[in-house]
Amino acid sequence: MFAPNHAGMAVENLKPHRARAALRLPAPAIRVEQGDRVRITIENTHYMPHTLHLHGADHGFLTAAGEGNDGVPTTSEVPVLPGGARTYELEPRTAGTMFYHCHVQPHVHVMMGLQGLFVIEENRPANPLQTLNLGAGQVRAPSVASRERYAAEYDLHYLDFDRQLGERIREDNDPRIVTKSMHRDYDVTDATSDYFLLNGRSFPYTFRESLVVADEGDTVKLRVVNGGAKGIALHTHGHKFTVTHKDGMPVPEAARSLQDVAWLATAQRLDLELAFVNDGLHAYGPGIWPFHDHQNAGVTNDGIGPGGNISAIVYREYLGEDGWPRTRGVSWDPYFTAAYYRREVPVWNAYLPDLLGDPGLDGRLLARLVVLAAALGGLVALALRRRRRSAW
Amino acid sequence: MVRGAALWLLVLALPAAAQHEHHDMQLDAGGIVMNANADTPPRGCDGISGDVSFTVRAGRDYAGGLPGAIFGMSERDLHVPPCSRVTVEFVNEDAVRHQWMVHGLPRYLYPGGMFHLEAMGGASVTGTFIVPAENRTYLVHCDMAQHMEKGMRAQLVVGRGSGDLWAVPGLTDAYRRASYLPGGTLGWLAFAALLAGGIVALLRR
Ligand SMILES: [Cu+2]
Ligand SMILES: [Cu+2]
Repeated sequence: MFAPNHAGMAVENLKPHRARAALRLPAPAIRVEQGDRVRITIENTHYMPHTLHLHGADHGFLTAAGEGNDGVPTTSEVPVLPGGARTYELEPRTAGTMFYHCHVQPHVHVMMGLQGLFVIEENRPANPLQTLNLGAGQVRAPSVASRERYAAEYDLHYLDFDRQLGERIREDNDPRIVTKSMHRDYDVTDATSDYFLLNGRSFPYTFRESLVVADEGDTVKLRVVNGGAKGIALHTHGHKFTVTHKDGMPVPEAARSLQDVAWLATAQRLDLELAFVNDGLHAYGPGIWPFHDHQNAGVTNDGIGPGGNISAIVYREYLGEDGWPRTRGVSWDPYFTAAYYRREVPVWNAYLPDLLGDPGLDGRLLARLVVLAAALGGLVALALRRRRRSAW
Repeated sequence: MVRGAALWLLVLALPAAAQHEHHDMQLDAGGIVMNANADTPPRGCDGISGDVSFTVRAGRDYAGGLPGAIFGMSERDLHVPPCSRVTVEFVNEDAVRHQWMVHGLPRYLYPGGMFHLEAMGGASVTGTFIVPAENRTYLVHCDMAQHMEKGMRAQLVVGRGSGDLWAVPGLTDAYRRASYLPGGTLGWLAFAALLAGGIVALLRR
């Protein structure tokens, strides 16, 4: 998790314990420039050992000082202990969309959100890089190379969570008990994912933070990473995109094609190019066009849909003044209630409450059954009494 | 070329955004002193009763020997007279930042009811505040996420205090002591109680 260096409390208040806006996961997208000498210091304020592993980014096995630089406890270094800090170094020769994550007990730590997008931008003079993109989404200061070709650039970080793992850190305060629960009692081979996030949020909050917004005629770049435990079948409505890069490396022109589903394996990155050109190939015209994982679980919150990583491509003319898309379908009000995701609201309650609403309880039938049961009980009691009397 | 290539990535936890209330804040490379007050006694004090000073050391080394602690503070049970002027030197021996934060002070003098020191890794900060007149026990903690729960919890007792706080490491019991019983203990205890009751009932017949 990312902990911006600031004074005061981590939470808004002692009660309720609500995190401040900048305290979130996964970790922010980091942007550096090809050829730069980059030093990244990990300050471990957490109560477990951790490391930094620069997945796919050009980094040496050792730092200049001869310390481990790959972040793997088994092969390169003892992890950063609680209260400790370590600086990792790289001077990346190759640009591309990469990834970073903790490599201590990665089947648990990476799945708890210790991961982020790591982008190495092409080296250009006067490159205005946005070093951190907290919460991902739109890149507010795209690189020179990006501006040359694209009207806008978006970071899209997909992740899924297993509730049975996430709840373990709340079971107890004692770190010995928590670490045993997470790393010994929890069995990832029996795990299932319950929550599906885009940039750290699930639907409907994906619409507040992770819309792809553009005007007709624009070309937009999406940098997508799947940090989750399972693959993602990323599908766009109303558009066919081109995969320009896989795992940071360019896809040869001859191998590129227009697609509307792209598979992202765990830890995989794809750079997508979206052309907002209404030619029946790239796009079908202005609108609010969802994009989401096309696997069924991914569009739910713990099995209740709509949910998960659904977001949308929105043409600016469809965007309200408050930044919310002017949707035309059903009311969204139930989606913002906990009851909806607690399974308490009938699926079409909003517009077919009489036909497909709550069936309710039959009070008359219940009352009759109670009377019947009482009458039967009385009869049995009477019969027993008579038998006893006759026995005497 | 990108300027300022040093990035500070803090694994797990911490503060953000400006505080809602206005705080008086002194900030330098070594840390922060928030809501310092060396001059104004709280209401109910006839001036400053005297000066007290402490050095509190913080870090992983001070968790040693405290069950279930990862981080610690060298002083966890501080006693001061009412209306005294307290100067705390907070020495951070870890490589990550820590805080020494008192809650529950009068809000008319200490915005948010708190006095707060924050020391960067390897640094120390010193700050002064004046405690109120009532006998009361105040919570002292580090608010880096989970640091209080993992050992950085202490109490500041003004005068006779108002009773010990729970779960101060080395002073009072942990919040959930049932965690340290063998699995199923409560079930076996209930079973034993039922068995004993049954035997007594049978013998009485
Ligand atoms: Cu880790
Ligand atoms: Cu701390």
